[in-house]
Amino acid sequence: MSIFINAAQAISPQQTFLKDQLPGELVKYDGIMQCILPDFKNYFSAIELRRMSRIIKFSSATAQECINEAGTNKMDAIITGTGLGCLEDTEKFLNKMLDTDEGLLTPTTFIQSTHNTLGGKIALTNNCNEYNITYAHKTVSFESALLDASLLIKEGEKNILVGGIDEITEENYNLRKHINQWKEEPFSNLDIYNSKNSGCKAGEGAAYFMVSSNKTDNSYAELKMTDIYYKLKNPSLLAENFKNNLKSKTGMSLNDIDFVLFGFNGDVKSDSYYHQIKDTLFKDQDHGYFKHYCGEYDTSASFGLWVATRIIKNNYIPDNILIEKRKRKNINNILLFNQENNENHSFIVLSKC
Amino acid sequence: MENRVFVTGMGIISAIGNNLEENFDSLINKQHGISKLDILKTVHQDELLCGEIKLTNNDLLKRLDLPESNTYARTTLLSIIAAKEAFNDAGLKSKDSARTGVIVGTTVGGMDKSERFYKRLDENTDFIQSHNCGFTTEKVADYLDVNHFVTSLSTACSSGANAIMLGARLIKHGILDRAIVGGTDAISKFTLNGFKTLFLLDPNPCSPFDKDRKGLNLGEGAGIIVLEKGEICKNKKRYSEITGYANNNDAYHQTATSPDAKGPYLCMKNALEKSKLKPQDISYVNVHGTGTDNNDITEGLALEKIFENTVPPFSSTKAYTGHTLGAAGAIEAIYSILSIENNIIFPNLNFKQAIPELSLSPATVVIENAGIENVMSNSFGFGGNGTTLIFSKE
Repeated sequence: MSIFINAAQAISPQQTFLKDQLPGELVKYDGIMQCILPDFKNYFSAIELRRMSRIIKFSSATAQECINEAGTNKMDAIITGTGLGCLEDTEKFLNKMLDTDEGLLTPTTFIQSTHNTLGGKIALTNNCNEYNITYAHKTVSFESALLDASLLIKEGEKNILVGGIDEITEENYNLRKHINQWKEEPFSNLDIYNSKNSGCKAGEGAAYFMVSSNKTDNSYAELKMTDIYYKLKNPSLLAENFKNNLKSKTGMSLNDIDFVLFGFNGDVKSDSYYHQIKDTLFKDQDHGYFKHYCGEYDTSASFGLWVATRIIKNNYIPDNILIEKRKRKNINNILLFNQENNENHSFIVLSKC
Repeated sequence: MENRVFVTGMGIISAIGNNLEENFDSLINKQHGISKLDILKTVHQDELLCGEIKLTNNDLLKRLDLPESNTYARTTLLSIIAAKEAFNDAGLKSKDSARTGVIVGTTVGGMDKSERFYKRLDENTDFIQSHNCGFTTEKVADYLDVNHFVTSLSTACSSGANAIMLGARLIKHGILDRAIVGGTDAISKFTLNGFKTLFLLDPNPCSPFDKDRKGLNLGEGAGIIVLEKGEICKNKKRYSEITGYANNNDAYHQTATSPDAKGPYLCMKNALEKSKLKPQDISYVNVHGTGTDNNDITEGLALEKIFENTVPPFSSTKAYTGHTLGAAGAIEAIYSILSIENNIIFPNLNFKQAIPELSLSPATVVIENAGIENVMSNSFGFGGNGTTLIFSKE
C-alpha cells in the first residue's frame, strides 16, 4: 500500500505560503519569529475575522489552500497535531478569569480554546463529517497525526488532510523565558546552526498536507515511514531501531537515504544528539536543517516536512538549507529527523515518486 | 487478518470511588458523587455542584509514593492512579518484551496548576512544563516504565474514547502488542467558568434525559484500560473484546449538535459496521447523556434513528460522576465493560419524565441478569467531535 503526499502548503515566518520553491533569501528575526500572514479577507467573512484568533485564521487559510491544491474537498479524515492548541484564546479566557476573580466572562474565547477547534473549523468549512482527531503530544504531535493518517490509508481511506499547527504569543514567550527556553535577544535565526549556547528561537506556523492512496500529476513524494520513539536515549540503540524499521517497513537500507533534514534548533545540548547521529549513522549522506526558517515549536516538524516536499520535487537543495557541500547527485529519498533533548525522536521518510 | 484486541486490565478514579471496586459498588448502590466543592477553591464554591474527588493533591501523591516536591498537575496524578491500577489488574510488569504504548487523552492538561500560577510566576515556574497535554502521558509512561511509544490527544469530551480507539487500531495494525490507554481531567476554574459562561451547568444534581434537565455537573477523574492483542493474553483474564469504534464530526457548530444529529448518528452507524454487529445485537448503550438540553435531545434522536425505534436499554452515568470531560469516554468505557463483566445495567439517576419529543426513557433501576453481549459507549464533544466504542463479551 503506497501513501502519497498530493498537496502541501505552509504559512511560516518566511515567504512560504503558496510557493513552489524554497525562498533564496530568508527573513532575519532577532527575537520571536511570527508568521508572515496573507490577507485574511480573502478567506473569511467579517464576523469570522473579528471572532477568530490568529492561529485559527492561519491554520484555516493554510488548510484551505492545501485542499485547493489537492483539487478535492472530499476528505476521508482531517487529522491535526498541535502542541499547545489555541494558546491566544486560552490565555485570554484565563487572564480575564484571573483578573476579574472569576467575574462576568464571555464564552467565545473559552469555546475556541480547545485543541480540536482547528480541525473542527476545517470540518465545518468543508462540511466534512468524517474522522476528525487532534493530537497534542509535545514535539511529536504532528508525527502522531501523520502516523494515524498512514493507518487510515492502510484501512482503505483515500484522501486525508493532515496538519501541524502552533502559535506563539508574547505572553507565552515571556513565560518560557523564565525556564530559559529561548536565546537571549538579540540572536538571529540565521545563526542557529553555529550557536554555542543554550536556548532556541521561538517560532510558529501551520503546514497542511493532503495524504492520499492515489498518485497524481501533482504528487510531491511517497510517504514511506513515520516512526516515533519516546525515550530511546542510547544513540546506538536508537540507530539500530531505526535501521531495522527502515528495512522492515520500506525495504531500504541506510545508504538509500540521500538527504537527511535535521531539526537543529540552536540549543547546543539538544543539537548535540543530532551531531552524534549525523556524524556516525549518516556520514555518507547530504545534510540540511530548517528551523532557521520557522523557529522552534511543538509542530515544527510539519514545516520540516513541507521543506522536504519542495526539495524532493525540485530535486534541489538551496544553500541556506545545506550544512556542507553536496556529496550526492540526486535526492531520491529524504529522512526528516527531529527530537527534543534526546526524547520524542521522530523519523519521517519520503521517496521520489 | 487483523489482530483481535482484548481488555485485560482496568483502573479508575472518580467522584464515586478511588478504584474499580469502589466505582462498581457505588454504581449498583445508586451512590452518586455530586457535591459542593471542597478541594478546588473558587468563588463559585457554594453555588455549583460537581463530581469532585475528595482527595487533595498531597493525598494522591502519598498513594503513589511520589515526593511532595514535584511538578505534577492534578490531571496527571489522577491518570497515574488509574494507570497503576490498570497495570496491576492486567498483571503486567515493566520491561517485558511486548511492544507497549501509552496513549492518554485530556482536554486542558495541567490547567489546574496554570490557573494558580499564571500571574504569580515568581512563586512557581514548574507549571510551565506541566501545562501541555503530553506531560501527563509521559508521567504515566515514566511511572510504569514504558518507553516505547507515547502520544496524547485532545479532542474535547471524546478525548478518552479516542485514545482507546487509537490504541486498538495500533494493535490491529501490528504496530503495538499492548496499549495502556484512556483519559484524564481534573476540575479546574478554567473549565468551571467556561461552562458557566455557556449556561450549561445545572445548579442541582443533573438529570440526563429528563424533560426538565437543566445542564451538566462538571466532574473529574481518570479511566485507563489495558488493551492487548489476542496472542499475548490467551492465558489471562480478558474482560471483553473491543469490536467496534468510529469517530465522526458533526460539522455543524463548535459547541452544539446539529438538529438532525448527523455526527452522533454516523459514529454509532460506523462503529456498528466496524464490529459487524446489527443494531439489535447491542444489549446496552452507555450514552453520552450530559444532561444539557441540546445533547440529550440530539443523542436521543440519533438513538431512535440508528435503532429504528427499538432502542436497547440505555443510561447515562453522568449523574453519578459528573461530566469528567477528557476522562468521560474512558470512565464510561470502563462502566460499559463492567456491565458486560457483571451482566448488569447501571441506572440513569434523577430521571423522572421522558423528553416529549422522544419516545424513549433510560433505565432507572439496576437491571441484573440483563443478558449483556455487546455494549455501546458514546462520547461527544466540542468541535463537533463524536466517538462510539463497542465492547463485546468473548
